[in-house]
Amino acid sequence: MLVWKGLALIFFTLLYGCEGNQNFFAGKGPQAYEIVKLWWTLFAIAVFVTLTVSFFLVKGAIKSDRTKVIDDQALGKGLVYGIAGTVSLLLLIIFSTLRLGHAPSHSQDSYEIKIVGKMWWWQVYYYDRKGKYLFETANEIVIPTNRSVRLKLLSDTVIHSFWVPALAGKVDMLPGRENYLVLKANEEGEFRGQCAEFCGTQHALMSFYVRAMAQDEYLKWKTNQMKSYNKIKKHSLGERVFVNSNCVKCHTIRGLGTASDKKLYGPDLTHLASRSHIAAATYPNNKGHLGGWILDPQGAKPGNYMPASALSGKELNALLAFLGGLK
Amino acid sequence: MNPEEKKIQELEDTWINPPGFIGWLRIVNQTNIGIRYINTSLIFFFMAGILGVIMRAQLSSPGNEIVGPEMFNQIFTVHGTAMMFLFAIPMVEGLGAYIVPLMIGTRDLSFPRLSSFSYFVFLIGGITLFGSLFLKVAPNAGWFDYVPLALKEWSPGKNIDVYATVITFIEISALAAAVELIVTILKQRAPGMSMARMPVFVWSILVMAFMIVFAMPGVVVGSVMLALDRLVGTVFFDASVGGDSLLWQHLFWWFGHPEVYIAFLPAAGVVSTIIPVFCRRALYGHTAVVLSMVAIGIISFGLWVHHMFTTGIPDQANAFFSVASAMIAIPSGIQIYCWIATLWTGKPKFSTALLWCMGFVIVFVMGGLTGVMVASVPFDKQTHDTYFVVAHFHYVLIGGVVFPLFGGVYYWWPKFTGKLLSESLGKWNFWLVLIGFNIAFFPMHLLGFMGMPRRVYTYLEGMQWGPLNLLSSIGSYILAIGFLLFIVNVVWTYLKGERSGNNPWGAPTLEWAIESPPRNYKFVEIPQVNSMNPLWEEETLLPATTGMRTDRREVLITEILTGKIQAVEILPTNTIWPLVLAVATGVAFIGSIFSPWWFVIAFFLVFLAITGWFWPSKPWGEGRDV
Repeated sequence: MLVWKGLALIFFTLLYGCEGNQNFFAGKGPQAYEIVKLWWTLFAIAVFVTLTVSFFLVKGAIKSDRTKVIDDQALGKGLVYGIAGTVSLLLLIIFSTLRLGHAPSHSQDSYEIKIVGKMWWWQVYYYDRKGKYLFETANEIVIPTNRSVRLKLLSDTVIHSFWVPALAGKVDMLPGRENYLVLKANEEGEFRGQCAEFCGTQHALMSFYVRAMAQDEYLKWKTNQMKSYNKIKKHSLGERVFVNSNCVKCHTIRGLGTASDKKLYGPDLTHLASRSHIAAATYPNNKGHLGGWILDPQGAKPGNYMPASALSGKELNALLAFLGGLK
Repeated sequence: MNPEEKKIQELEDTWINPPGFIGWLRIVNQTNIGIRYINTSLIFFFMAGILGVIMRAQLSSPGNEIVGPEMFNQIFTVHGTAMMFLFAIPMVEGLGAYIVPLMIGTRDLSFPRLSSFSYFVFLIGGITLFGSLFLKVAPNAGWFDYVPLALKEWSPGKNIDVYATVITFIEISALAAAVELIVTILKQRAPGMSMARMPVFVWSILVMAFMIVFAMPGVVVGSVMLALDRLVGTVFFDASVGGDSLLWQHLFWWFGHPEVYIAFLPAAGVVSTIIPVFCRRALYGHTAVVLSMVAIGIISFGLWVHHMFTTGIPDQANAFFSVASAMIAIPSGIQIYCWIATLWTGKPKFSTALLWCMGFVIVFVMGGLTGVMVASVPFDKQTHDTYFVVAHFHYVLIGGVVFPLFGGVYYWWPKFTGKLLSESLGKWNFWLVLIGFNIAFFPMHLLGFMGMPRRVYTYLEGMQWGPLNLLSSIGSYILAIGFLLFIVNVVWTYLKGERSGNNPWGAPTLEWAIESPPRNYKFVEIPQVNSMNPLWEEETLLPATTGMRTDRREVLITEILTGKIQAVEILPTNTIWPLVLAVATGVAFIGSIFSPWWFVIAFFLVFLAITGWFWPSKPWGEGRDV
C-alpha cells in the first residue's frame, strides 16, 4: 500500500510540480489541452475498473464464508451486468474520443511552414500566406501565438515523428507522403519537442524547440530571418575559416556560401546566433558548447554525420566570434 | 511375465528413445520435443531479460555511457525480437506440444518428425540472433524494423539481413508447430472427447494455432520482400521509386497485433486451467470462456492499424480501428469475470501456481486499461511511441503472458519431472517478481506523460526524467532477482525436491492420470472420455478400445466434432532427417545473408534431406528402431 501511496505522490508532484516543458499535461495548445481533459475521463474509468476487479478478486479469494451456495444462475446475472458495464464504459470512451481531441480547424489549404525530417535534425522552411518561399532555418520553429499555423511534414530520409507534447499530438513524417499538422499556442513560451519514431543512431537526441511569440514580434523575427549575411569587403578570419575549411560543404550561410553536399546537407546557419540551442536542441547555444561541438561532434553525439574539424585555437576563436555574430 | 507386463514392455520397446548423443538428435517423441522447446525458450527469456537489465542500467541516469547508441539499438532490438519470437511463441507452442497430447489422451503429436524439425529450426534461428549480438552485427532497427530505416541505403551493414532471415526462419518453425497442433487437436482426441468436452487449455492452443496460420504469412511476405529489397534491389518499400514504406507497417502489424494474442490466449488458457483446480470446482462459464477466446482470436485481426494512428491515415479508418481495439475489452472482461466467479464460489488453496494467476488478473487488468486508453486516437497521438506504451505492453506481456506461463510451469513441473517445485521458494519468486515488476514499469507511464520517447539510448539532464528512470531501474533489478529465484528453485528441486506422484494437485484432466514424468507411450490404453473433467467425474478410466498393436507406434484417430473412433494411425519412429533438413534450411537462410548462392547450394541440400525423410520405409516393420 505504501508503495502505491508513494507512487501517487511522485505522480502528482511530477505532473504539476515541475514545468517539464516536454510534458503533455502542460496543455498549452487547444489539441493538447483537450487530450488532457480526455485523459482524466480515461483515468477515472481505469481507477474504477482496477479497484472493482481487484476488490472482487481478492474478496473472492480470501472470504471466509463459503457455506452460502451461489448458484450459477446468479453468477450468470452478474456476468450480464459485467458485460453491460464494460460496454457502457467503452461507449463513454468512444464518445469522448469522438468529441475531444480534434485538431483546430483550418480553412485554407496553404501552409506556412514546411518541416523535413533529416538524420537527425529538423529542416524548417517558411512560406508567406500565398505560398511563396521565404527562408530556411533549422531545429527552431517560431510561431505566432493564438493563431493556427499549418505545418507540412515531410521526410527525405527515414520515418520520423514530429511531436511537441505541450501543443499537440504527434504526426509521423514519412518519405513519399505528405502529412499536415495544425499547431496553435495559447501563450508565449518555448516548447520542447522530440522525434518519437525510432530513426537510427541519434534518434534519442533529435529534438527541437517551438517558440511562440506575439504577432508583432513574430513578424520582426521573420523579417530578420529573411536577411542574408552582409559580407565585409575583406574577409574576416572567421569568415575565411568557414569558407575554406569543411563547414561550407554541408552548411549554408546565405550571402557567404552555399552547401554543396546534397546528401550530407546540414542546418542552415545564416542566423545561427538567433537560436537558443545547437545540435538539434541538445546543447545551449553558447561559445563553450559550440566550440566543443565543432571540435568533437562525435563525442557529443556519436554516429551523427558531422565530422570533427581540426582547427587551431586562433581559427576556432575567430570562427566562434563570427558565428556568434549571426543574429 | 503376465500379459499386462508383456504389453507394457512391448510399448516401452516400441516407443523407446535411442541412446547417446546421435540418438538424442533423432528423438521425435512429443514430450521430449516439448520440454526442449520450453527449456530453450526459457533460456532465451533469461538472455533477453539480461539485455533488458543492461538497458535499464544505461537509462538509470541521464547521459550514462554504459553502452553507446549503436550497441543500445542492437540490444533493444534483440530484446524485443527475442522476447516475442524466441520466448513468447515457442514457449506457448512448447507447452502446447507437451501438454496437449497428454490432455486429450493420445500418445504423440500427429507429425512427430515435423515437431523435431520445427524445434531445430527454432534453435538455429535463436542461436543466430544471439550470436549476431556477440559479433556486434545484431539487428538494430527495432523489433518491428520499420523501412526505410531498414533498407540498404540507411542500414548498409549485415544487421538487418540477420533480422530478415531469422524472422522468416522462425516463422517456418512456428507455422510447422501450429499445423501440427491443429491436426493433433482436431483428429487425435481420446474417444468420447467431443468438442464440447475439450479442456479450455486445448481450446486456447487450438485458437492460437489457427491464429498463427493466418497471421504469420503476413510477416513472412513482409520479411521476404525486405530481404529481396536488400539482396537483389527490388523496391517494394522504397518511396523514391514508387514503393511504399507504409506497406511494411501493414504487413508487419497484420501479424504483429495478433501475435500479442497468440501469446496471450494460451496464457489465459493456463489460468483457466489452474484456477478451477485450486478452487476445487469446474471452471465457471466454460462455454463463455471458450467463445471469448475464439472472439479474441477473430477480433485481433481487425486491430492492426492502431499501431499506425499517427501515420496520417484518414480519420475514418482510424475511428474504425479505434472502436475495434476497444471492443477486445469485452471478451477479455468475460474471461476475467469467469475466473473471479470461479474463485468466489470455490475453495481456493493458495499454491504458487494460483498466486501467479491472481497476480496476472490484476496486472493484466491494468495493462488492458492502458490498452483501452491508447485505443483512443487523440490520446494515442500523445502517448504513441513513448514510455507510456512501453509500460502498457510490459503490463500486458509480462502480466498477461509471463505470469500465467510461470504459473503453468509451477503447475505442470511435477508432470515434467516427477518432482514438486518448492512452494516457499515459489512464493518468494512470485512476490519479488510482482513487486519488482510494478516498481520497474509503473513509473514508465509517468515518463511517457513527461515526454520520454521509447528507444532512446540516453536523455538530457534538464528533462527531469532522471529520478523516475532510476526508480524503474531499481525495480528492474528486483525483478531480475525475482526471476533468478526461479532458477534457484529449479536447482533446489532437482537436488532435494519432493516426489509428486501422478496427480499432486488432484486435477481433473487426463495428463494427471498417467505417470510423472510420462512414459513415451503415455497411455497404456487410450481412455474413453465421458465428461469434461474425467478424473473428477469418472470413477475409473476405461479403455476406449482393445486390440491396438504394441509393436508399432499406433494412435487413435477420431471424428472432429463428436470424438468417435475413426481409424488407427501409425506414426513414424526416431529419425535424423528432421535435423538434416533443419540444417539445410539454415544454410539457405543464414547463407543468404552473405551471398544469394547459398540459397542455390542449400536447395540441393534440402532436396537430399527431403528425399531421406520420405524414403520409403516400414516404421511398423519387424525390426525395432534401435
